[in-house]
Amino acid sequence: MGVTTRLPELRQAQRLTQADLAVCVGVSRQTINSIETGRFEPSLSLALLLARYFGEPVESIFALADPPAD
Amino acid sequence: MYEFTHQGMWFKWNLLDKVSKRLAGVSLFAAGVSVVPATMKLCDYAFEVGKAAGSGIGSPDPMLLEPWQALWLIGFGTLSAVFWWRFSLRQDEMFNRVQNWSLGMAGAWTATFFALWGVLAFGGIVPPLHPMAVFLVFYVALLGFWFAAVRRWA
Repeated sequence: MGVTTRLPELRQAQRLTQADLAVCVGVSRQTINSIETGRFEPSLSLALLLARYFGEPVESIFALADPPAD
Repeated sequence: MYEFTHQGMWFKWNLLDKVSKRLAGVSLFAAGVSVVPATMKLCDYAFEVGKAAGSGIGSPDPMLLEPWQALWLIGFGTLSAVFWWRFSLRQDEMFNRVQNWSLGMAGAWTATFFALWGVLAFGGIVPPLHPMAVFLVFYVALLGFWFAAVRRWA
């Protein structure tokens, strides 16, 4: 079960590069790139850090790609 | 902060901070120094194997390290590992996930390989392995899993 993200959209809205955002949250640019392209799922602490940085709830940035049907 | 290059074979040195450069540099240097006596011994052994094959006599005794060579390998190997561990603590979670997954998988597969080989050797089906073979098997497995992890996540 994958995770989708609005990270590129939020980052671009603030006119940040991947390198800028990486410095702000203390990870490498490669990590931000991998999260945005869906190859790497961040830890809960990194997801919360990104949510705090953008001032959004974490579930509005990350969501399950294929949620179970009710 | 660490960034992989060449499919994980190397990393962008200029992106590391000063402390990380020092830690990685000492670790890589110590790793290189640690294998010098063992490499020289291995070269001598290879020469003996070639000489024995050329002269038609039996193969030489299995390579064994001198006690000081084994202690050298352990000492510098430990130094390298400690510095690499401290370097790893300064890197981000993707680097540590790649590294920890590779080490875990390589360790598990090496243990499985030696357990199975040991049972087969105990039954006389295969010859016993040289004690240093564990390094070779672990190293090959680690490289394979490292590249797989970088391809998957980085």
